[in-house]
Amino acid sequence: MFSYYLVIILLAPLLAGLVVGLLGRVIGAKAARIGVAAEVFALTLSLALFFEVITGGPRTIQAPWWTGNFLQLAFYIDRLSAVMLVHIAAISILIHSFSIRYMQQDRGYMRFHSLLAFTTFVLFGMVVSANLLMLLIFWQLLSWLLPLLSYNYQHPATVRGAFRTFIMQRAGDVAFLAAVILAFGWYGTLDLQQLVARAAAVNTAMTLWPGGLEISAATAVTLLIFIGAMAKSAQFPLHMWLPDSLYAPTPVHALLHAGIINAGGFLLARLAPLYGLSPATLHLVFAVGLLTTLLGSSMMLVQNDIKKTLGYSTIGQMGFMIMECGLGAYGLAIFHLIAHGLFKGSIFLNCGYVIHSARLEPRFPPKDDAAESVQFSTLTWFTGFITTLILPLIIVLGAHGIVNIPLGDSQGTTIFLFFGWATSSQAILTIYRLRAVASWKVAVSMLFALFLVVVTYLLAAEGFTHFLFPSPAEVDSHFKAGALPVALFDVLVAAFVLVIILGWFLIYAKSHGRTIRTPQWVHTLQARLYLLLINRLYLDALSMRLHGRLTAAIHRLDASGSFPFVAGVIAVGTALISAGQMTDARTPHIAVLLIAALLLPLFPFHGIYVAALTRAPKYLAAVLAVLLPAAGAYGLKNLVPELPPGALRAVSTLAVFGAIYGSFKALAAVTAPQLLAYAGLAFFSALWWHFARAGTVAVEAIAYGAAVILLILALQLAWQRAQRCCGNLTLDRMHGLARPMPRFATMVSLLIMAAVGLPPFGLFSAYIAMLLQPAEAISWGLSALLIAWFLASWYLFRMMQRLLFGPHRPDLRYEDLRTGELAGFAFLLVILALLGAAPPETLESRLSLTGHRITMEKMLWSK
Amino acid sequence: MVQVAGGNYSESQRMELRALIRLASEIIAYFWPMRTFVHHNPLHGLEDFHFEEAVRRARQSRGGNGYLPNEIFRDYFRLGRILPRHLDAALKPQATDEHVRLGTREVGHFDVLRAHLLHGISSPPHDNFDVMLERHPDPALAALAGHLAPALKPPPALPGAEAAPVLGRGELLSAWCDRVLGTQIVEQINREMTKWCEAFLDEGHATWPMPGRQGGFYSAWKILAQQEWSPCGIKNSRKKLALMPSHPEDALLETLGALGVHPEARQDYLALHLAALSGWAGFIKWRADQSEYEWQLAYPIDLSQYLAARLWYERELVEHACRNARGIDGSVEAIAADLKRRGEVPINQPSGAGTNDRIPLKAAWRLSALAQALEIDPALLPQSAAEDLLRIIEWLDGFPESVHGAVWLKAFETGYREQLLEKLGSRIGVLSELSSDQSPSAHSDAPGEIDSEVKVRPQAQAVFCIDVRSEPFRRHLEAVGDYETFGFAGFFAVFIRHQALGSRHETDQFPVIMKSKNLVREIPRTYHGGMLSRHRRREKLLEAGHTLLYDLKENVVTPYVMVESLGWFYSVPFVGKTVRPAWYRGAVEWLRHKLVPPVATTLTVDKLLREEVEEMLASEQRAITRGALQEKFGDRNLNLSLERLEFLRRRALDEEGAAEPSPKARSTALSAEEEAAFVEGLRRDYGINQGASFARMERITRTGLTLNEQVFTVETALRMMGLVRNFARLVFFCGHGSRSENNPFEAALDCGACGGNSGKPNARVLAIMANRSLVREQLAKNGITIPQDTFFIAGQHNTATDDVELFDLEDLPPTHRKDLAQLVHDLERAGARTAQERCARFPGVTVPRRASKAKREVLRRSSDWSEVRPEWGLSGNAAFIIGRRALTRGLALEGRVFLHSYDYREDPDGRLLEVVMTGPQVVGQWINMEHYFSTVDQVVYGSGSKVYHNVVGRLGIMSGPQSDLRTGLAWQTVMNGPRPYHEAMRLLTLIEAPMARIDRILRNQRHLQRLYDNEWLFLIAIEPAEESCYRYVPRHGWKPVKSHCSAPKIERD
Repeated sequence: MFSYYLVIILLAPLLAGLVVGLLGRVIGAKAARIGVAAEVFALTLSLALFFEVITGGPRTIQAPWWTGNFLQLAFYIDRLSAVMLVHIAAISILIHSFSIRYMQQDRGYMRFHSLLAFTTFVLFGMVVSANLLMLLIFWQLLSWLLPLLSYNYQHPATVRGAFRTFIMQRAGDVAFLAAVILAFGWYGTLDLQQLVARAAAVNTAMTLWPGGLEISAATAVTLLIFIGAMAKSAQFPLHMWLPDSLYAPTPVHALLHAGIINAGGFLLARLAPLYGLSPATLHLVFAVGLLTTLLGSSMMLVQNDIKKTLGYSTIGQMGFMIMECGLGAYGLAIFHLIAHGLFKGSIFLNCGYVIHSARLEPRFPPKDDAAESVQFSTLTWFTGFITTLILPLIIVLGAHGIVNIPLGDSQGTTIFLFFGWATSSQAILTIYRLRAVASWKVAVSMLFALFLVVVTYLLAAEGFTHFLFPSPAEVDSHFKAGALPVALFDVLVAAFVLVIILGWFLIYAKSHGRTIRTPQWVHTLQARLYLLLINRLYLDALSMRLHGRLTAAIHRLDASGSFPFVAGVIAVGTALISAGQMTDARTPHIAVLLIAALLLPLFPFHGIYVAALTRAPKYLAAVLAVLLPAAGAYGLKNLVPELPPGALRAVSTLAVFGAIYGSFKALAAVTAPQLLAYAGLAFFSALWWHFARAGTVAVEAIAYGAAVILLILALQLAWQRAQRCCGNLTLDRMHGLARPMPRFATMVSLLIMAAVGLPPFGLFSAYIAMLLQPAEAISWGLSALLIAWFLASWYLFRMMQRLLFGPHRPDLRYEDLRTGELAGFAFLLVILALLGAAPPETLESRLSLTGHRITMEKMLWSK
Repeated sequence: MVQVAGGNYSESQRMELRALIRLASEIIAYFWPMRTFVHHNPLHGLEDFHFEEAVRRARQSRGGNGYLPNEIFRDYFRLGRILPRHLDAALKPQATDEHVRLGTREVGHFDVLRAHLLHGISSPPHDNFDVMLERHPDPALAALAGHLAPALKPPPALPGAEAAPVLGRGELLSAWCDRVLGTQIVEQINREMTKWCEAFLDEGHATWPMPGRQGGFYSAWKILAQQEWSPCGIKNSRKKLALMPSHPEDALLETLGALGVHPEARQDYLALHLAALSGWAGFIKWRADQSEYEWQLAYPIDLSQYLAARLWYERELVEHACRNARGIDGSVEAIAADLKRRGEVPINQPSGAGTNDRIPLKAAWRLSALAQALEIDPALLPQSAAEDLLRIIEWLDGFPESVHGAVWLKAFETGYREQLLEKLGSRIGVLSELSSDQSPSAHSDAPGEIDSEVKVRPQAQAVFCIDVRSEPFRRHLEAVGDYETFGFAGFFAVFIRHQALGSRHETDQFPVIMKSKNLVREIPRTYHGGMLSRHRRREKLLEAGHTLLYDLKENVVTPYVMVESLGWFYSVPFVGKTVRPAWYRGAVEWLRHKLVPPVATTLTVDKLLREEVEEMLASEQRAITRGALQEKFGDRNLNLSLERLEFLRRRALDEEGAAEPSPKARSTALSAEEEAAFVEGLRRDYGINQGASFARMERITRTGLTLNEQVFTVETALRMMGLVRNFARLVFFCGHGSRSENNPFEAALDCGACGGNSGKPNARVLAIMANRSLVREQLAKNGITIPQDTFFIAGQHNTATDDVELFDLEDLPPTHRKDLAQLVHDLERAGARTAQERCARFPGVTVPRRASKAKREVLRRSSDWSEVRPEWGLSGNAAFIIGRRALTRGLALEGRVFLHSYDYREDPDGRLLEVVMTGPQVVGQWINMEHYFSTVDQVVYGSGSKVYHNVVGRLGIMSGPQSDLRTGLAWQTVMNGPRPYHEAMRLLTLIEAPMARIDRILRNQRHLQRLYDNEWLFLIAIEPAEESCYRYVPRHGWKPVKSHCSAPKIERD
């Protein structure tokens, strides 16, 4: 029963998304209600699961038909997942229902609703994933959905924002992937439960560079995962995508700020035991969270419009959530993310209300506060100090006492205490300033009310934590792991106290009409600070300039004729050095290897491949794009096992160079065939690297090669198709195909998604399979491949945006894919998906290969 | 570039520049803050030009479309919405009667143009012409091209040298750089200016506002930009900014000089700059002209300051780009010289568009398309003479698709005019009967004559706003009972500022083109202490709660705990508003009423005399003084006599007679120092000082209207609407407002005549005044006798829900209870019927058969926070009828017509008509033009889709986090899916009055005449004496309209 519930919860929004997206036009305006219905259904079942988990404890569900592979379809449901399921379903229903009317008659109505449903599916999938790889898969799908949710593909600023969003997300994804590879390399498993157990048992360490800093494996893994969380949860400095995403329709913000962005908090809470192993990471998490908290809310203060104000407020709130994680208060972080989701979601949807409130009570330019100060000065400094600073402290302390939270035990509590203190202090200050309380009677009842609020809040938060983590020892261990060094903690506490007292002093003096004589430099500093905040810390200007410089440099290098030559010489030289003495190399082998390198492009022998793709006539190029690498790979099949290790080392060095060189040339490419050709070089370099490392042609390598060949072919055909309809335009003159050619756009975006290595397509799983090696540690080669992967996202996504997004040209007569063509592309995609999803055994038997395959049991760790 | 030393410009040069800016700013329109959305003509500054010319100019500098897309017009044509005969009539003036031979047939210029209109035979796009040819290969084309080629003359070469002035005139230097050098300067400048405008013009949104705003925009910008880290990558920005002159005009002159903009070209150049962010510039333009606007007083800004900053960025960035790319100065001369040297053409031209070998082929392509449109076999084309064919191409080129709109629009408007006149045609006969059976009483002022008429009194008379939304409601009200209704501009000629109970600010309750200082305050009716103080206390508490939440949210440290402790409670509104909006709103209102019980109120209509006010103030201040004395020196033996208090009060006010106390005013209880200190305290802490007294005095004397003003107001209103006799027992003044949730455009749905506020206070004030016996006595002397038993009541029509709320019923005499009950009942029924009618117009709503269901639907729309169309508002407006209700009574005008009651017999000298034509009619034209332009171009004039809107600075909206201020109406307001809901056409005014009178008014009001002559407005007079209509033809005078037009036939193309 349980597992059926789960499957239905996952499938309901997925199917709804598919139905609305594909058949929406046929069904008509009512189609949007399908999504709501599906989510109501999902919510009901989530609640059922929720109660079952409370009574029955956590459960793992394993797909029975899927065994042996590292890629496991497994779900884990505990109280955390159940709470998140209910939260996501509820938020999703509300936003879905809201959008039914709000988005009415919009051109992309169906697309919007199907995207909402897909997002819900991905979020569901993320919270129930049982292993790190599945988490990564859903994590990446979310990265893909974020730019698509920007929705207004015609609008140039939106498109730029979407690009930035995607790139920042990909940076997080790559780090996450590196963490997955390392974790598998060290611990030989990706299942969360096992991973934690093994990580606790073994204490591996690694050095970052020879003789450099030594960090424990757990720290490395958790740090890399944290980078992924930073990207999703908009932590400084990866927060920059969030303000740009505000070009999207309002309901998207609500979903983003209430449902998606807190993924980081969930991820940390999910991996809490793992993070418990690495106090260093937790300290960093705390620092990043605290910094983001302060920066986010400071930037919020200077914003002049409602959406940016809310956007930066979210950044601050996410910082607080992450900070809570850093202190080990995972329960509180989840509590926070739900409360914040409800708060921010409803405020965002209601943001048109601002004009109404401006009509009711327009504000006026501030005058001198003489009148106000008269009213306020009834409190002398001493009584003021007592009532607005000490009283709240007593209230908060008293509340802690009642709720029975020991203050001395954990540092986290103390830090939250300060936030509570500052908040209640501000509350009392405001109440006094407004003179809302006329008498002592009212004042006392007010204080009592405040006390009640604090107690209730603490009780709720405490209760919630207890609910999520029933064992007090577990909570304690979390707090213990997050404990800061005593000296640092003391400094922090002192700083907090100082800031609160100073802040109080300033506010109080100001409202007393006392102008504090400030020297000129304070004013200058204030103006500087204002400018820093309104210019978003100058990060945009900085990144724009950096981007400009880099682009210029790349193009200069690309234009210079000697660059390929120099690069080639260096690569070959390095390769020869790394090969060392090759005594047992036989000439025929080397000759075959060279021929293979010409066909299956290996830097610097990629000329033929590139020329075939860029110079050959249309269809011939397509044929060659398949034949050349296929032939090369076939030749290698028997050759590789016989190659001496020196040659393999040389090949792997060349592959690393090729990955970087190909990515670089693809970045600089101005025409699509060029871009695709060099992308091919970069992709095939990964294959070469794997051959060289494994010393054999493994089944996953074949799958990977096939996927790359198919993708390059499909993208080439898509480009030719676009040309056939729009004429011989360059990449930047042909834009905005998404609106006039929706079928084509869907196919291309799916292809690009497959090409940048997103699941569920073949490239991703084969790529992962190639990289997931027992005892794989971080190395130059691996880093280069990861960077190449990241850069592939960069240029391929940009190519897609150029082609599909932006305003379309009204003077061109576009023609969407005909059914036959659509079927052709769909067929390619299905094959790609099958390559990715099919269990490896099938492939193996078909290809009758004898390569080795990684299984769970054959791992280094068990030795 | 040489930095010119600042400050050496003379005052006359500055004046000249200011005048230039004023002229340049004609291209942009005022933008009022959205608290009071004012419908206006985005091309208001161009109304001196003919409509088509204005549209052309606006297209040049702002890039906006002036007409609906041709596809939509063609669609209308296909659907029969535009009839062929109207199209032909509109096209006729464009065509000559030349004929040429095309294939087998003789075709005229007219036929060619008509085919072009209907099929859009433009030149095929250059970019993919090959692909088009490839996809539809046609060997005949090549043959035809070969036939044409010898006759084709090569296109005239573009003169390169003469184009230099165009560089600084038709195109900004920054735009040139972007186009030629591939920079993104315009975007960079816009981004910077948006940032600064957002920050400077903010009206209380940001918690931490921009520092240094007091000095004005230019100086604040100058100081801050100096401290910025490398704005836009400009090097040495700090030094360069410090060298800028302190006068914005000087800076602007200097910059224009450095850019080398020719003095004659400066106006155009500045206009282009203003048009780049026309929303922000429009708001600045408005704000600079408001002498009493608090924000403007505190933080001054005007267009020259804005331009000075804007052009500085351009100058620096252009200089940088030109230096980098070409090593030249960033000025017009330098660029022109460089271009000449390189032999490039500075004018924008699609690359390769001029390649000659394509020209014959393209001409052939077009001819072939034309032949198909004219049902001629394209294969026969080569048989015609090449000259003839080229002549056709010339014709086509002479009538490009960009001007088709003007023709289509004329045809479209003619269609509507015919429909409307046909409806009215049946009425005009009735009119003459009405006119003849009444004696020409209008020309006599003798009240006896009017009294002698014996007429049946209607059940009640109701006066509504002229708003197009009143028309259906009036129709339904007349249908459910024996009511007589009138239309009158919704502010009812009551010029007041209004301050609602518990509110700290005043609203202007009159059209924005006027000014008034009379203040009317809403005050509680009850003196029942407990009730009132409870209301006040609770209200204050509620406000404190709001402020508390705000303070905790807008802080660096406190929002987090706040969100954790209160965030969960937001789920209640979140769920409530989404799932059951109407129910939720009801619940919240109920709760609010429980918490803060409402109190009955009235308005301070009467004005106090100056002496009264002085006495009032004095006694108030004496009481304060007494209290203060007792508070400070309560234990002493104080002299609290009247004289003593008066003496102290006067001393505090520094008035004469306070120098020497009279014996009774002396007191020994205080020493001289103590007394002086006490007086000082009175001044400081208790607000007894000259300034405060004066302000209060001012405020109180501003409050209310004098008897004469009241009489004048009531009389004007009644006479203008023609309600001067035969008063019913109840006369109902009905203002209107609209309630919607989460809608930044809510003010656009309120009453435009009340300056974008609800019309409630005006209706209340008018009713209160008209009920006063003193006023009625005076009115009777002036010839308007209101019977004793006539009672005026006020109400408000909620146009979103069609509910009507009545006010001040406490004043209603018990004798009228029955009449009121009947009225309330009928208003409800009329509201339900109106709602039913309106429901049919909403997309995706099945017309409810039962009225109660319709009510439920409109109530949901009004309370649903996700509803982007709470109502259609004024969309659809197309005509303005000034005349008696008899003309339109019973006609279903679909809520598209403004109805202004006017009885020409009551206004022999035309004075009232003049007011109607210059006031309400012009407001109607503004509303019409706002809708027109928002429909035809939603990007430039409209404000795009609501789903991206973002309220900025509590004053307007942007699309997304950063954009220009969006000034027009939203996409959802004027469009119904892909088709326009608002049929974009210019307003047609029909006036029932003698032509001679209208002519006289036109002669007096040149501005009005210009509007008609330039075809921003159309005018038809219904001559009462002749039962016929005359159309005003610009510069030709009146032309009779054929009233017996045939029924429109739907023809299909």
